[in-house]
Amino acid sequence: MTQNDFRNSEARLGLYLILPAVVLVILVVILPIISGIQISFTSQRVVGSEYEMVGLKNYLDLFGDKNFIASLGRSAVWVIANGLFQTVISLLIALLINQPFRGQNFVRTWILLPWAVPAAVTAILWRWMFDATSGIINTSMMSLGVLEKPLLFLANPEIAGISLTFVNSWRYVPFLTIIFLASLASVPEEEYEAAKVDGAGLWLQFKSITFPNLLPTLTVLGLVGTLWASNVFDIIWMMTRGGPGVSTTTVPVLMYDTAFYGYNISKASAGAIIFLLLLIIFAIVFIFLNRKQFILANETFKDLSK
Amino acid sequence: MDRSFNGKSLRLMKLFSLTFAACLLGINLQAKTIQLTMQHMEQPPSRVEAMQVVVDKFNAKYPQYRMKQNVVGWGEAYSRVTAQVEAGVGVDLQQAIPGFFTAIRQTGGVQPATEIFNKVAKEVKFIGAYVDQYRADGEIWAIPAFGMLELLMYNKKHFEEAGIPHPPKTTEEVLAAAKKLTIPSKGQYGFALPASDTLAGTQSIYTWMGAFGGKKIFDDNCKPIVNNPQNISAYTFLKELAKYSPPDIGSYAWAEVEGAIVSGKASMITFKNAFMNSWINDSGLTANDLGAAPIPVPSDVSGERFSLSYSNAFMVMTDDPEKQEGISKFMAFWLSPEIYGEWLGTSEPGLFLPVTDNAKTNRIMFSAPVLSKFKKQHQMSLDEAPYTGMYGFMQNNYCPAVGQFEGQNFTAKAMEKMVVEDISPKEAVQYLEELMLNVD
Repeated sequence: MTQNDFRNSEARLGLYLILPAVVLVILVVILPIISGIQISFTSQRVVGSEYEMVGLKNYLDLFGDKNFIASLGRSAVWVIANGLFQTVISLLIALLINQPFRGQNFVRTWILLPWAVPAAVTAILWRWMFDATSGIINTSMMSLGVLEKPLLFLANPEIAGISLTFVNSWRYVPFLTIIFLASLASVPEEEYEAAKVDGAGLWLQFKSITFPNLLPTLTVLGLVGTLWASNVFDIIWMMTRGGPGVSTTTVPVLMYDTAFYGYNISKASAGAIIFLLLLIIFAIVFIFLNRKQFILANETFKDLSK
Repeated sequence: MDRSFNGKSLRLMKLFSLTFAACLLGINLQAKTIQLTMQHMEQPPSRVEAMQVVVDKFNAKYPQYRMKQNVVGWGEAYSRVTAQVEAGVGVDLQQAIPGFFTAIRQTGGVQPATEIFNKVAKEVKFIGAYVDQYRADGEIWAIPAFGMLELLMYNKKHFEEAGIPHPPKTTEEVLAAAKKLTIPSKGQYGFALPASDTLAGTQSIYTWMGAFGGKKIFDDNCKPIVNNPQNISAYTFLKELAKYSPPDIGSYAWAEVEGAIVSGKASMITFKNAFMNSWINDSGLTANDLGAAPIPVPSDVSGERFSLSYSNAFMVMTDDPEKQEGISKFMAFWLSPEIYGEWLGTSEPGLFLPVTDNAKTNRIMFSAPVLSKFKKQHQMSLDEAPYTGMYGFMQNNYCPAVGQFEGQNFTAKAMEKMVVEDISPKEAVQYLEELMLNVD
C-alpha cells in the first residue's frame, strides 16, 4: 500500500464515519429549514392547512411590525447582557479554581451540576425562589431588613430581563468555566515564572500572559455564545412567557407565540428565517474580523487534543 | 430413530400442533380487533388512572375494540396534533376545547361528528350549552365529554376573622372584602387575580367581563365589539382588585392561583373547583372552610349572572366507518350513568362537570370519597351551569378568530399591560380591541 492509497482509504473511512451525522443534520436541520423557507412564502396559518403563495408579504409585514422590530432589539440586549455577564463570571471562577487548593478536583467536577440540571427543573426552581411572598430570596432579604417590600423578580418589567439573564447565566457559567479551565491549562507555566522573576504582579501577569493566551478561546466563545444565547427559548418561555408585557419577548419567544398560539406558522417561519439570516451575517462578519484568533484557537484545540 | 415416535413424542407433537393452532387462531382474532386511540391533555396521574379504568371496562365489554389512551400536555398539544394530521398518523379521538378546535379544524383532519353525536345522544341526554360550542357549518364537530366553569372560591376562615358575614354578591362588595382581607404583614391578600399572559388570566378576566355585561366579543359578522362601557367598567374593577392581590400577580398562572388560596396567601379567587384534593391535604382546613359562590355582579343593572364555562369534547379524527362505530360505542359507554358518575367523582373531584343531564350520574358522582365532602361547592357549580358561556360562541356566526383570542390570551395581555404599564382601563380595552382587529 502506497502512502497515497493509505491516505485515500483513511479519507474514505473518515467520510463513512461522519456520514451518519451528515444524514442526521440533513434530516433534522437542513430539511426543516428548507421547509420553513417554503412556508414563509405562503399564507399557511396552521400546519397542514390550505394556503396560497404570497411571495414576500410575510417578510414585508414583519419589517413593518413594531413588535418584531422591538423583539430584535430585545434579543440583541439579551445576547450582549448574557455574553458579558457569563464571560466575566466564568473567567473569574476559572482563574480562581485554577489555583491549587484542597478539594480542587471536587470543585472542578461538581461545578458542572447547574449545567446538567434540565431547563424545566431550573425554571421551576428559580420561580419558587423568586416568588414575591414565599420565595426564599424575598423572605430572607425582608427578614434581614435588607428589603422593605418584596422585589418582583419576574413580575416587574424592569427586573424580569435581569432575573432571566441571571438564571440563564447560572446554567451556562459552569460550562464556560470548564472551557476556560481547559484553555488555562495550555498556558506555558514558564511564562508565569519568567514574569515573576521580572517582578510582574498578578494584574500584569493576567494582562500580559493569561489574557492573550485566552483570547482565541474568548473569540470562539464569543461566536458560539452569541448563537446559543440568541436561540434561548426554554428558560424564557417557562419563567415569564415573554412577559410581563413584552419585556422579555425575544425573537424565538415571539415566533413561537406567533406560530403556536397565534396560529400563523407562515409569519413565524418568515421571522425565523430573517433571524437566521441575521445570525449567519453576524457569524461571517465575526469570523472575518477575528480570523487570526480563530486560526490560533484551532491550533490550541489541536494541542489540547494531543 | 423409531424410538422418537413413541407415544410420549406423539403426545408432545399433538400438544405442539394444538398450541400452534391456538396461536394462529389468536392472531386471527387479534386481526379482527379494531384498534382505537384517544388522545387527551389531562396529564395529572389521577386523571390518567381514572381514564384507564373507563378504557379497561370498555375493552372488556367490547372485545372487538381495543381502545388505548395517549396523553400529551396542553403546551405541546397544538404542535403534536397538527404534526400527526400532517403525517397522516393521527389518533382517532382527540380532546379539544373550543378555541383549540377552531385551530385544528383548519388542518382538515377533523371529521364531522354529527352522525356519531346523534347515536350517542340516543343513549344519553346532553346539556345543549355544551354541544353548541362545537356547532359550525350545520355540523357538530366534537362529542362533549365534560364541562368546567369558574366560581368565586373563598376562605371562610379568613372571612370569619375579618368579620365578613357572607360572600360578596356584588362587585362593590368584592372590593370592600378584598380591602379588608388584605393584610400584607401577614402575607395575606384579599384576592389572587392572575394578571398574566396565560390561559388562567384569560379565563378569569373574561369571567369578570361577562359579569359586567361584556360577554359578547364579536358581532354577528365576527367584528370585535369589546371596546364598550361594560368592559371599561370590568377593567376598572380589575385594576382596583389588583391592588388587593399579591404583588407578583403579573406572573401568576393556574398553579400560583391555586397555591395562593390553598396556602392562605389569598382569601378569594375566581377558579374552577379544581383543588379539592390539595385543599384537604395542604390547607390545614376542612372542606367546610372552603366557600363557593356565584361570580358577583355590579350592584346596578349593567351586569348579569355569568361565568365562563368550557365544554371539553372529543373530535373525531378518523374517517374509517368501523372506527367511527367504535367511537360512538365508546362515548356512549363512557357517558353512561354508572361509568360517567364514577369517572366524574374520581378523576379530578370537582373540576369536571357532567355534560349530560342524569340524576343517577350525579348521585354516583357525589358519593365519591372526596366529592362527598365538597357537596355544597360542587352543587354550586352545577347550579351555575345555566348562567355560563364561552367567549366567541355567542353570535350567530362561527368566528375562527376566537382561536387567536384564546391562544394569545388577548384579555390577559390587556390586563397585564394595564397593571404593569399602569395604563387606564379605557386604554386597556382599546388595546384589547386593537389586538383583536389585528388578527389576519
